[in-house]
Amino acid sequence: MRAWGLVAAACLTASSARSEDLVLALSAQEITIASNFAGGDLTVFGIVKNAPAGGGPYDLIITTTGPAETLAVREKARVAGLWITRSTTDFPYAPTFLSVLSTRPPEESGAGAPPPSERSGLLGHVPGGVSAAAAALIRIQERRGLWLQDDRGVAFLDPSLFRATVRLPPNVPIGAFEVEARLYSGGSVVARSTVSFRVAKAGFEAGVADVAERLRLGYGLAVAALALLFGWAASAMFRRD
Amino acid sequence: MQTYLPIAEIPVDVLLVFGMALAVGFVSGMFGIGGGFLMTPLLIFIGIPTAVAVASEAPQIAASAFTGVLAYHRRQAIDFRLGLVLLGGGVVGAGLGVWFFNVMRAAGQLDAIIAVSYVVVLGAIGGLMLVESVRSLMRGEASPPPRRAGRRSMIAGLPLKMRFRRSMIHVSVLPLIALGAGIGFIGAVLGIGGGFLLVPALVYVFRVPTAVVVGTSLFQILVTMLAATLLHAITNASVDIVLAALLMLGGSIGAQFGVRVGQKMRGVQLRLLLALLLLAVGVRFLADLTVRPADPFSVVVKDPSR
Repeated sequence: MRAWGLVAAACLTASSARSEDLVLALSAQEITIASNFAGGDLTVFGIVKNAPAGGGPYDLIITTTGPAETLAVREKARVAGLWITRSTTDFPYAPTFLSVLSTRPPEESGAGAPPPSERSGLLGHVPGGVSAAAAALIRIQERRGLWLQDDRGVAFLDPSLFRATVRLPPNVPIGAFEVEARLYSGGSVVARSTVSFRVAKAGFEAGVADVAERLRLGYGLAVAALALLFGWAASAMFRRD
Repeated sequence: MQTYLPIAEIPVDVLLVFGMALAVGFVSGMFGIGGGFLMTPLLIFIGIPTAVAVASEAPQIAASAFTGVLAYHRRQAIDFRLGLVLLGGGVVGAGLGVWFFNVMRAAGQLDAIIAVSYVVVLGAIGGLMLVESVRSLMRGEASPPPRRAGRRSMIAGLPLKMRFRRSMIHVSVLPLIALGAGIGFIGAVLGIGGGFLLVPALVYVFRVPTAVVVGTSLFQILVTMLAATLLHAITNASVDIVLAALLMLGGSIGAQFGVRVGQKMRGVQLRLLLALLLLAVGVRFLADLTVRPADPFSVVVKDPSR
Protein backbone atom coordinates (compact mmCIF):
# COMPACT_ATOMS: atom_id res chain seq x y z
CA MET A 1 0.00 0.00 0.00
CA ARG A 2 2.58 2.48 1.14
CA ALA A 3 5.04 1.53 -1.56
CA TRP A 4 2.19 1.82 -4.02
CA GLY A 5 1.55 5.38 -2.91
CA LEU A 6 5.12 6.33 -3.69
CA VAL A 7 5.23 4.58 -7.02
CA ALA A 8 1.88 5.97 -8.07
CA ALA A 9 2.88 9.57 -7.62
CA ALA A 10 1.88 10.15 -11.22
CA CYS A 11 -1.72 11.12 -11.68
CA LEU A 12 -2.58 8.34 -14.00
CA THR A 13 -1.93 4.66 -13.53
CA ALA A 14 -3.49 1.78 -15.35
CA SER A 15 -3.75 -1.88 -14.67
CA SER A 16 -2.15 -3.90 -17.41
CA ALA A 17 -4.63 -6.79 -17.24
CA ARG A 18 -7.67 -4.63 -18.01
CA SER A 19 -7.83 -1.49 -19.99
CA GLU A 20 -9.63 0.88 -17.59
CA ASP A 21 -7.92 4.10 -16.61
CA LEU A 22 -8.80 6.44 -13.76
CA VAL A 23 -8.41 10.20 -14.06
CA LEU A 24 -8.76 12.19 -10.84
CA ALA A 25 -9.16 15.89 -10.15
CA LEU A 26 -9.48 17.82 -6.87
CA SER A 27 -11.47 20.99 -6.24
CA ALA A 28 -8.30 22.51 -4.72
CA GLN A 29 -4.57 21.74 -4.77
CA GLU A 30 -4.05 23.53 -1.48
CA ILE A 31 -6.35 24.06 1.49
CA THR A 32 -5.25 27.29 3.12
CA ILE A 33 -5.96 27.97 6.75
CA ALA A 34 -6.61 31.63 7.52
CA SER A 35 -7.98 33.13 10.73
CA ASN A 36 -11.58 32.27 9.79
CA PHE A 37 -10.88 28.59 9.03
CA ALA A 38 -13.58 26.33 10.48
CA GLY A 39 -13.04 23.16 8.49
CA GLY A 40 -13.72 22.65 4.82
CA ASP A 41 -14.76 20.30 2.07
CA LEU A 42 -12.58 18.97 -0.71
CA THR A 43 -14.32 17.48 -3.72
CA VAL A 44 -12.72 14.63 -5.66
CA PHE A 45 -13.91 14.23 -9.25
CA GLY A 46 -12.95 11.43 -11.55
CA ILE A 47 -13.78 9.54 -14.67
CA VAL A 48 -13.31 5.93 -15.71
CA LYS A 49 -11.70 5.95 -19.15
CA ASN A 50 -11.39 3.20 -21.72
CA ALA A 51 -14.07 1.08 -20.07
CA PRO A 52 -14.59 -2.06 -22.21
CA ALA A 53 -18.13 -3.00 -23.16
CA GLY A 54 -19.73 -4.78 -20.21
CA GLY A 55 -16.86 -3.71 -17.93
CA GLY A 56 -19.12 -2.52 -15.09
CA PRO A 57 -20.63 -2.28 -12.65
CA TYR A 58 -17.77 -0.62 -10.82
CA ASP A 59 -17.05 -0.08 -7.17
CA LEU A 60 -14.74 2.64 -5.95
CA ILE A 61 -12.85 3.23 -2.73
CA ILE A 62 -11.34 6.69 -2.28
CA THR A 63 -8.88 6.87 0.59
CA THR A 64 -7.47 10.20 1.80
CA THR A 65 -4.58 10.12 4.27
CA GLY A 66 -2.92 12.99 6.15
CA PRO A 67 0.68 13.18 7.42
CA ALA A 68 1.82 10.05 9.29
CA GLU A 69 2.77 10.30 12.96
CA THR A 70 3.19 7.94 15.89
CA LEU A 71 -0.17 7.86 17.65
CA ALA A 72 -0.09 6.60 21.22
CA VAL A 73 -3.18 5.02 22.77
CA ARG A 74 -3.22 5.17 26.56
CA GLU A 75 -5.46 3.05 28.70
CA LYS A 76 -6.38 4.06 32.23
CA ALA A 77 -6.96 1.51 34.93
CA ARG A 78 -7.67 1.63 38.62
CA VAL A 79 -4.46 1.30 40.62
CA ALA A 80 -4.70 1.67 44.40
CA GLY A 81 -8.01 3.51 44.06
CA LEU A 82 -6.75 5.99 41.44
CA TRP A 83 -7.40 5.95 37.72
CA ILE A 84 -3.96 6.24 36.13
CA THR A 85 -2.43 5.23 32.81
CA ARG A 86 -1.76 1.50 32.91
CA SER A 87 -0.57 0.81 29.40
CA THR A 88 0.46 2.76 26.31
CA THR A 89 0.29 1.28 22.81
CA ASP A 90 2.18 3.07 20.03
CA PHE A 91 0.94 3.04 16.45
CA PRO A 92 3.90 4.21 14.33
CA TYR A 93 3.25 5.82 10.92
CA ALA A 94 -0.49 6.04 11.54
CA PRO A 95 -2.31 8.65 9.45
CA THR A 96 -3.29 11.74 11.47
CA PHE A 97 -6.18 12.20 9.05
CA LEU A 98 -8.00 9.34 7.32
CA SER A 99 -11.11 9.30 5.18
CA VAL A 100 -12.28 6.09 3.53
CA LEU A 101 -15.17 6.67 1.11
CA SER A 102 -16.76 3.98 -1.00
CA THR A 103 -19.68 3.45 -3.37
CA ARG A 104 -21.59 1.03 -1.16
CA PRO A 105 -21.31 -0.87 2.13
CA PRO A 106 -19.45 -4.20 2.08
CA GLU A 107 -22.52 -6.29 2.97
CA GLU A 108 -24.43 -4.97 -0.06
CA SER A 109 -21.59 -5.26 -2.49
CA GLY A 110 -22.10 -8.89 -3.48
CA ALA A 111 -20.07 -10.53 -6.19
CA GLY A 112 -18.75 -7.39 -7.80
CA ALA A 113 -17.42 -6.06 -4.53
CA PRO A 114 -13.82 -5.62 -3.38
CA PRO A 115 -12.43 -8.67 -1.53
CA PRO A 116 -12.48 -8.45 2.30
CA SER A 117 -8.74 -7.78 2.55
CA GLU A 118 -9.13 -4.68 0.42
CA ARG A 119 -12.13 -3.20 2.16
CA SER A 120 -11.21 -3.36 5.80
CA GLY A 121 -11.80 0.40 5.91
CA LEU A 122 -10.30 2.28 8.84
CA LEU A 123 -8.92 -0.86 10.49
CA GLY A 124 -6.85 -1.56 7.38
CA HIS A 125 -4.86 1.61 8.12
CA VAL A 126 -4.09 0.75 11.74
CA PRO A 127 -0.63 -0.81 11.93
CA GLY A 128 -0.80 -4.12 13.76
CA GLY A 129 -4.44 -4.92 13.13
CA VAL A 130 -7.24 -5.84 15.53
CA SER A 131 -6.82 -5.11 19.25
CA ALA A 132 -8.63 -3.24 22.00
CA ALA A 133 -6.20 -0.34 21.54
CA ALA A 134 -6.79 -0.28 17.77
CA ALA A 135 -10.55 -0.22 18.32
CA ALA A 136 -10.11 2.66 20.78
CA LEU A 137 -7.87 4.52 18.32
CA ILE A 138 -10.52 4.27 15.59
CA ARG A 139 -13.34 5.27 17.95
CA ILE A 140 -11.51 8.31 19.36
CA GLN A 141 -10.20 9.52 15.99
CA GLU A 142 -13.73 9.21 14.57
CA ARG A 143 -15.11 11.19 17.52
CA ARG A 144 -12.57 13.95 16.80
CA GLY A 145 -13.62 14.03 13.17
CA LEU A 146 -10.09 13.09 12.09
CA TRP A 147 -10.93 9.62 10.83
CA LEU A 148 -14.11 8.80 9.01
CA GLN A 149 -15.60 6.08 6.88
CA ASP A 150 -18.59 6.60 4.61
CA ASP A 151 -19.86 3.59 2.69
CA ARG A 152 -21.94 5.80 0.43
CA GLY A 153 -19.44 8.63 0.13
CA VAL A 154 -18.68 8.04 -3.56
CA ALA A 155 -21.44 8.64 -6.09
CA PHE A 156 -21.41 7.74 -9.78
CA LEU A 157 -23.06 10.60 -11.66
CA ASP A 158 -23.17 8.52 -14.83
CA PRO A 159 -21.55 5.13 -15.60
CA SER A 160 -18.09 6.66 -15.93
CA LEU A 161 -18.17 9.93 -13.91
CA PHE A 162 -17.92 9.90 -10.12
CA ARG A 163 -17.65 12.40 -7.29
CA ALA A 164 -16.78 12.24 -3.57
CA THR A 165 -16.52 14.87 -0.86
CA VAL A 166 -13.75 14.70 1.73
CA ARG A 167 -14.72 16.56 4.87
CA LEU A 168 -11.75 18.28 6.58
CA PRO A 169 -12.46 19.11 10.24
CA PRO A 170 -11.42 22.42 11.90
CA ASN A 171 -8.59 20.58 13.71
CA VAL A 172 -7.22 19.13 10.45
CA PRO A 173 -3.47 18.42 10.63
CA ILE A 174 -1.06 20.57 8.60
CA GLY A 175 0.99 18.97 5.82
CA ALA A 176 0.84 16.79 2.72
CA PHE A 177 -2.25 14.68 1.99
CA GLU A 178 -2.71 11.92 -0.51
CA VAL A 179 -5.92 10.83 -2.22
CA GLU A 180 -5.91 7.33 -3.64
CA ALA A 181 -8.78 5.95 -5.72
CA ARG A 182 -9.10 2.22 -6.41
CA LEU A 183 -11.53 0.97 -9.01
CA TYR A 184 -12.95 -2.52 -8.56
CA SER A 185 -14.75 -4.70 -11.01
CA GLY A 186 -15.68 -8.31 -10.41
CA GLY A 187 -13.97 -8.26 -7.04
CA SER A 188 -10.52 -7.17 -8.12
CA VAL A 189 -8.68 -3.89 -8.62
CA VAL A 190 -8.74 -2.84 -12.24
CA ALA A 191 -7.32 0.66 -11.92
CA ARG A 192 -5.64 2.87 -9.37
CA SER A 193 -4.75 6.52 -9.27
CA THR A 194 -3.46 9.02 -6.73
CA VAL A 195 -3.39 12.77 -6.42
CA SER A 196 -2.06 14.89 -3.60
CA PHE A 197 -2.88 18.18 -1.97
CA ARG A 198 -1.53 20.25 0.91
CA VAL A 199 -3.10 21.76 3.98
CA ALA A 200 -1.13 24.88 4.88
CA LYS A 201 -1.51 27.96 7.02
CA ALA A 202 -1.81 31.19 5.05
CA GLY A 203 -1.09 34.85 5.58
CA PHE A 204 -0.78 36.02 9.18
CA GLU A 205 -1.10 32.49 10.63
CA ALA A 206 1.66 31.16 8.38
CA GLY A 207 3.89 34.14 9.22
CA VAL A 208 3.44 33.72 12.98
CA ALA A 209 4.06 29.97 12.88
CA ASP A 210 7.14 30.48 10.69
CA VAL A 211 8.66 33.14 12.95
CA ALA A 212 7.88 31.10 16.10
CA GLU A 213 9.70 28.13 14.60
CA ARG A 214 12.73 29.89 13.08
CA LEU A 215 13.36 32.98 15.23
CA ARG A 216 12.63 31.35 18.55
CA LEU A 217 14.47 33.77 20.83
CA GLY A 218 13.16 36.82 18.98
CA TYR A 219 9.62 35.48 19.05
CA GLY A 220 9.89 34.75 22.77
CA LEU A 221 11.25 38.22 23.44
CA ALA A 222 8.41 39.73 21.39
CA VAL A 223 5.77 37.86 23.41
CA ALA A 224 7.50 38.85 26.67
CA ALA A 225 7.59 42.50 25.52
CA LEU A 226 3.90 42.27 24.60
CA ALA A 227 3.17 40.98 28.12
CA LEU A 228 5.01 43.95 29.66
CA LEU A 229 3.20 46.35 27.31
CA PHE A 230 -0.20 44.90 28.26
CA GLY A 231 0.67 45.02 31.97
CA TRP A 232 1.86 48.64 31.71
CA ALA A 233 -1.18 49.70 29.64
CA ALA A 234 -3.59 48.15 32.14
CA SER A 235 -1.76 49.90 34.96
CA ALA A 236 -1.76 53.28 33.18
CA MET A 237 -5.40 53.11 32.08
CA PHE A 238 -6.90 52.00 35.35
CA ARG A 239 -4.54 53.85 37.69
CA ARG A 240 -6.45 55.50 40.47
CA ASP A 241 -3.79 56.94 42.74
CA MET B 1 -16.75 34.44 16.25
CA GLN B 2 -14.06 31.91 15.47
CA THR B 3 -10.39 32.57 14.97
CA TYR B 4 -7.64 30.12 14.08
CA LEU B 5 -4.74 29.90 16.54
CA PRO B 6 -1.50 29.67 14.53
CA ILE B 7 0.51 27.60 17.07
CA ALA B 8 -2.26 25.61 18.78
CA GLU B 9 -3.47 24.79 15.21
CA ILE B 10 -7.15 24.76 16.09
CA PRO B 11 -9.89 27.37 15.73
CA VAL B 12 -11.37 28.76 18.95
CA ASP B 13 -14.34 30.96 19.77
CA VAL B 14 -12.82 34.40 20.46
CA LEU B 15 -15.65 35.44 22.76
CA LEU B 16 -15.42 32.21 24.75
CA VAL B 17 -11.66 32.58 25.35
CA PHE B 18 -12.05 36.29 26.06
CA GLY B 19 -14.88 35.57 28.52
CA MET B 20 -12.81 32.93 30.29
CA ALA B 21 -9.88 35.34 30.55
CA LEU B 22 -12.22 38.05 31.89
CA ALA B 23 -13.60 35.72 34.58
CA VAL B 24 -10.21 34.36 35.62
CA GLY B 25 -8.81 37.93 35.55
CA PHE B 26 -11.63 39.02 37.86
CA VAL B 27 -10.80 36.24 40.32
CA SER B 28 -7.07 36.94 40.14
CA GLY B 29 -7.56 40.68 40.73
CA MET B 30 -9.91 40.02 43.61
CA PHE B 31 -7.58 37.65 45.44
CA GLY B 32 -4.21 38.94 44.24
CA ILE B 33 -3.27 35.61 42.63
CA GLY B 34 -2.05 34.82 39.11
CA GLY B 35 -4.95 32.55 38.24
CA GLY B 36 -2.84 30.09 36.25
CA PHE B 37 -4.24 27.16 38.24
CA LEU B 38 -7.70 28.07 36.88
CA MET B 39 -6.81 29.16 33.33
CA THR B 40 -4.51 26.30 32.29
CA PRO B 41 -7.07 23.54 33.00
CA LEU B 42 -9.79 25.60 31.25
CA LEU B 43 -7.64 25.98 28.12
CA ILE B 44 -6.89 22.25 28.07
CA PHE B 45 -10.62 21.58 28.52
CA ILE B 46 -11.55 23.57 25.36
CA GLY B 47 -9.05 21.55 23.33
CA ILE B 48 -5.82 23.56 23.38
CA PRO B 49 -2.84 21.15 23.44
CA THR B 50 -1.39 20.99 26.96
CA ALA B 51 2.06 22.27 25.92
CA VAL B 52 0.54 25.31 24.15
CA ALA B 53 -1.87 26.02 27.03
CA VAL B 54 0.89 26.03 29.66
CA ALA B 55 3.26 28.06 27.45
CA SER B 56 0.68 30.68 26.39
CA GLU B 57 -0.60 31.15 29.93
CA ALA B 58 2.89 32.20 31.10
CA PRO B 59 2.93 35.64 29.33
CA GLN B 60 -0.61 36.33 30.59
CA ILE B 61 0.48 35.76 34.19
CA ALA B 62 3.54 37.95 33.50
CA ALA B 63 1.33 40.76 32.18
CA SER B 64 -1.02 40.79 35.16
CA ALA B 65 1.92 40.45 37.56
CA PHE B 66 3.60 43.47 35.90
CA THR B 67 0.45 45.57 36.43
CA GLY B 68 0.62 44.66 40.12
CA VAL B 69 4.39 45.22 40.34
CA LEU B 70 4.01 48.77 38.99
CA ALA B 71 1.27 49.55 41.55
CA TYR B 72 3.23 48.10 44.50
CA HIS B 73 6.48 49.73 43.33
CA ARG B 74 4.82 53.16 43.48
CA ARG B 75 4.00 52.39 47.11
CA GLN B 76 7.57 51.16 47.78
CA ALA B 77 6.07 47.81 48.78
CA ILE B 78 8.46 45.47 46.96
CA ASP B 79 11.50 43.93 48.64
CA PHE B 80 13.69 43.38 45.57
CA ARG B 81 16.46 41.83 47.65
CA LEU B 82 14.08 39.22 49.08
CA GLY B 83 12.63 38.68 45.60
CA LEU B 84 16.08 38.03 44.12
CA VAL B 85 16.99 35.51 46.85
CA LEU B 86 13.70 33.67 46.20
CA LEU B 87 14.42 33.76 42.47
CA GLY B 88 17.86 32.22 43.03
CA GLY B 89 16.13 29.20 44.53
CA GLY B 90 13.38 29.38 41.93
CA VAL B 91 15.78 28.87 39.01
CA VAL B 92 17.11 25.64 40.58
CA GLY B 93 13.59 24.43 41.43
CA ALA B 94 12.23 25.22 37.96
CA GLY B 95 15.13 23.33 36.33
CA LEU B 96 14.38 20.27 38.47
CA GLY B 97 10.68 20.70 37.74
CA VAL B 98 11.18 20.73 33.95
CA TRP B 99 13.35 17.61 34.23
CA PHE B 100 10.70 15.85 36.36
CA PHE B 101 7.98 16.99 33.91
CA ASN B 102 9.80 15.39 30.98
CA VAL B 103 10.55 12.15 32.86
CA MET B 104 6.90 11.77 33.82
CA ARG B 105 5.72 12.66 30.32
CA ALA B 106 7.99 9.96 28.88
CA ALA B 107 6.49 7.49 31.36
CA GLY B 108 2.97 8.46 30.26
CA GLN B 109 2.02 9.39 33.83
CA LEU B 110 2.04 13.18 33.48
CA ASP B 111 -1.74 13.57 33.74
CA ALA B 112 -1.88 11.51 36.92
CA ILE B 113 1.08 13.35 38.49
CA ILE B 114 -0.45 16.75 37.67
CA ALA B 115 -3.85 15.70 39.02
CA VAL B 116 -2.36 14.27 42.24
CA SER B 117 -0.22 17.41 42.71
CA TYR B 118 -3.22 19.69 42.23
CA VAL B 119 -5.26 17.66 44.73
CA VAL B 120 -2.47 17.70 47.35
CA VAL B 121 -1.42 21.35 46.91
CA LEU B 122 -4.89 22.86 46.52
CA GLY B 123 -6.36 20.61 49.20
CA ALA B 124 -3.64 21.48 51.71
CA ILE B 125 -3.58 25.25 51.09
CA GLY B 126 -7.37 25.49 50.68
CA GLY B 127 -7.98 23.43 53.82
CA LEU B 128 -5.56 25.49 55.93
CA MET B 129 -7.06 28.76 54.69
CA LEU B 130 -10.60 27.49 55.27
CA VAL B 131 -9.86 26.53 58.88
CA GLU B 132 -8.04 29.82 59.52
CA SER B 133 -10.72 32.04 57.97
CA VAL B 134 -13.65 30.23 59.63
CA ARG B 135 -11.90 30.60 62.99
CA SER B 136 -11.38 34.31 62.38
CA LEU B 137 -14.99 34.75 61.30
CA MET B 138 -16.22 33.01 64.44
CA ARG B 139 -14.02 35.27 66.55
CA GLY B 140 -15.72 38.09 64.68
CA GLU B 141 -12.60 39.89 63.49
CA ALA B 142 -9.77 39.70 61.05
CA SER B 143 -7.02 38.52 63.36
CA PRO B 144 -3.33 38.92 62.56
CA PRO B 145 -1.47 35.75 61.59
CA PRO B 146 -0.69 33.60 64.61
CA ARG B 147 2.86 33.74 65.99
CA ARG B 148 4.67 30.48 65.68
CA ALA B 149 7.47 30.57 68.17
CA GLY B 150 8.78 27.05 67.49
CA ARG B 151 9.16 27.49 63.74
CA ARG B 152 10.77 30.87 64.29
CA SER B 153 13.53 29.61 66.53
CA MET B 154 14.32 26.69 64.22
CA ILE B 155 14.85 29.04 61.26
CA ALA B 156 16.65 31.54 63.45
CA GLY B 157 19.35 28.96 64.17
CA LEU B 158 20.45 28.64 60.51
CA PRO B 159 23.63 30.30 59.19
CA LEU B 160 24.10 32.80 56.28
CA LYS B 161 21.82 35.48 57.71
CA MET B 162 20.84 38.44 55.65
CA ARG B 163 18.93 41.61 56.52
CA PHE B 164 15.89 42.52 54.42
CA ARG B 165 15.03 46.12 55.28
CA ARG B 166 11.68 46.48 53.54
CA SER B 167 10.45 43.16 54.85
CA MET B 168 11.80 44.03 58.30
CA ILE B 169 13.30 40.56 58.77
CA HIS B 170 16.81 39.28 59.48
CA VAL B 171 16.95 35.60 58.55
CA SER B 172 19.14 32.95 56.96
CA VAL B 173 18.92 32.83 53.16
CA LEU B 174 18.83 28.99 53.21
CA PRO B 175 15.10 28.54 54.02
CA LEU B 176 14.28 31.36 51.56
CA ILE B 177 16.21 29.65 48.76
CA ALA B 178 14.50 26.34 49.67
CA LEU B 179 11.11 28.06 49.54
CA GLY B 180 11.91 29.61 46.15
CA ALA B 181 13.09 26.22 44.86
CA GLY B 182 9.91 24.51 46.05
CA ILE B 183 7.72 27.14 44.36
CA GLY B 184 9.82 26.96 41.17
CA PHE B 185 9.54 23.16 41.09
CA ILE B 186 5.76 23.13 41.58
CA GLY B 187 5.35 26.01 39.14
CA ALA B 188 7.27 24.24 36.38
CA VAL B 189 5.37 20.96 36.86
CA LEU B 190 1.88 22.45 37.19
CA GLY B 191 2.28 25.50 34.91
CA ILE B 192 1.31 27.94 37.64
CA GLY B 193 2.97 31.03 39.13
CA GLY B 194 2.71 29.79 42.68
CA GLY B 195 1.62 33.10 44.26
CA PHE B 196 -1.02 31.35 46.33
CA LEU B 197 1.76 29.22 47.86
CA LEU B 198 4.38 31.94 48.28
CA VAL B 199 2.14 34.50 49.97
CA PRO B 200 1.01 32.34 52.92
CA ALA B 201 4.55 30.96 53.38
CA LEU B 202 6.08 34.43 53.64
CA VAL B 203 3.27 35.73 55.87
CA TYR B 204 2.96 32.80 58.26
CA VAL B 205 6.51 31.37 58.38
CA PHE B 206 8.72 34.44 57.82
CA ARG B 207 6.21 37.04 59.07
CA VAL B 208 6.92 39.54 56.35
CA PRO B 209 4.32 42.38 56.36
CA THR B 210 1.40 41.45 54.08
CA ALA B 211 1.70 44.50 51.80
CA VAL B 212 5.38 43.75 51.08
CA VAL B 213 4.64 40.03 50.63
CA VAL B 214 2.12 40.59 47.86
CA GLY B 215 4.37 43.06 45.98
CA THR B 216 7.44 40.82 46.33
CA SER B 217 5.49 37.73 45.32
CA LEU B 218 4.26 39.55 42.21
CA PHE B 219 7.84 40.57 41.36
CA GLN B 220 9.01 36.96 41.74
CA ILE B 221 6.10 35.73 39.58
CA LEU B 222 6.82 38.38 36.90
CA VAL B 223 10.46 37.33 36.47
CA THR B 224 9.65 33.60 36.64
CA MET B 225 6.88 33.84 34.03
CA LEU B 226 8.94 36.03 31.64
CA ALA B 227 11.69 33.40 31.87
CA ALA B 228 9.12 30.62 31.36
CA THR B 229 7.77 32.39 28.25
CA LEU B 230 11.28 32.58 26.76
CA LEU B 231 12.09 28.96 27.68
CA HIS B 232 8.88 27.61 26.17
CA ALA B 233 9.42 29.70 23.01
CA ILE B 234 13.03 28.56 22.60
CA THR B 235 12.71 24.87 23.49
CA ASN B 236 9.22 24.00 22.17
CA ALA B 237 8.06 26.94 19.99
CA SER B 238 4.77 26.37 21.80
CA VAL B 239 3.80 29.96 22.74
CA ASP B 240 0.72 31.04 20.80
CA ILE B 241 0.89 34.82 20.53
CA VAL B 242 -2.75 35.14 19.40
CA LEU B 243 -4.00 33.07 22.33
CA ALA B 244 -1.67 34.91 24.73
CA ALA B 245 -2.91 38.31 23.49
CA LEU B 246 -6.55 37.27 23.97
CA LEU B 247 -5.77 36.05 27.48
CA MET B 248 -3.83 39.21 28.35
CA LEU B 249 -6.58 41.51 27.08
CA GLY B 250 -9.40 39.70 28.90
CA GLY B 251 -7.28 39.08 31.98
CA SER B 252 -6.15 42.67 32.48
CA ILE B 253 -9.68 44.08 32.09
CA GLY B 254 -11.20 41.44 34.37
CA ALA B 255 -8.49 42.01 36.99
CA GLN B 256 -9.32 45.73 37.30
CA PHE B 257 -12.92 44.92 38.23
CA GLY B 258 -11.76 42.12 40.53
CA VAL B 259 -9.45 44.52 42.39
CA ARG B 260 -12.32 46.96 42.98
CA VAL B 261 -14.59 44.23 44.36
CA GLY B 262 -11.75 42.77 46.41
CA GLN B 263 -10.96 46.11 48.05
CA LYS B 264 -14.55 46.41 49.28
CA MET B 265 -14.42 43.06 51.03
CA ARG B 266 -12.86 42.18 54.37
CA GLY B 267 -9.66 40.19 54.34
CA VAL B 268 -11.19 37.23 56.14
CA GLN B 269 -14.09 37.04 53.67
CA LEU B 270 -11.62 37.04 50.78
CA ARG B 271 -9.57 34.27 52.38
CA LEU B 272 -12.71 32.18 52.96
CA LEU B 273 -13.81 32.57 49.32
CA LEU B 274 -10.33 31.79 48.01
CA ALA B 275 -10.16 28.73 50.27
CA LEU B 276 -13.49 27.48 48.85
CA LEU B 277 -12.29 28.15 45.29
CA LEU B 278 -9.03 26.25 45.85
CA LEU B 279 -10.90 23.34 47.43
CA ALA B 280 -13.44 23.26 44.57
CA VAL B 281 -10.68 23.01 41.95
CA GLY B 282 -8.94 20.39 44.11
CA VAL B 283 -12.15 18.32 44.32
CA ARG B 284 -12.54 18.57 40.54
CA PHE B 285 -9.08 17.01 40.09
CA LEU B 286 -9.82 14.42 42.80
CA ALA B 287 -12.95 13.40 40.86
CA ASP B 288 -10.82 12.99 37.72
CA LEU B 289 -8.59 10.57 39.63
CA THR B 290 -11.19 8.54 41.50
CA VAL B 291 -14.32 8.45 39.32
CA ARG B 292 -14.39 5.84 36.56
CA PRO B 293 -13.59 7.76 33.35
CA ALA B 294 -16.24 7.80 30.59
CA ASP B 295 -13.59 6.42 28.26
CA PRO B 296 -10.52 4.70 29.75
CA PHE B 297 -8.67 5.20 26.45
CA SER B 298 -7.08 8.38 25.13
CA VAL B 299 -5.03 9.13 22.00
CA VAL B 300 -2.05 11.49 21.79
CA VAL B 301 0.30 12.31 18.93
CA LYS B 302 3.86 11.45 19.91
CA ASP B 303 5.79 14.42 18.61
CA PRO B 304 9.47 13.52 18.29
CA SER B 305 10.52 17.20 18.31
CA ARG B 306 8.87 17.96 21.67
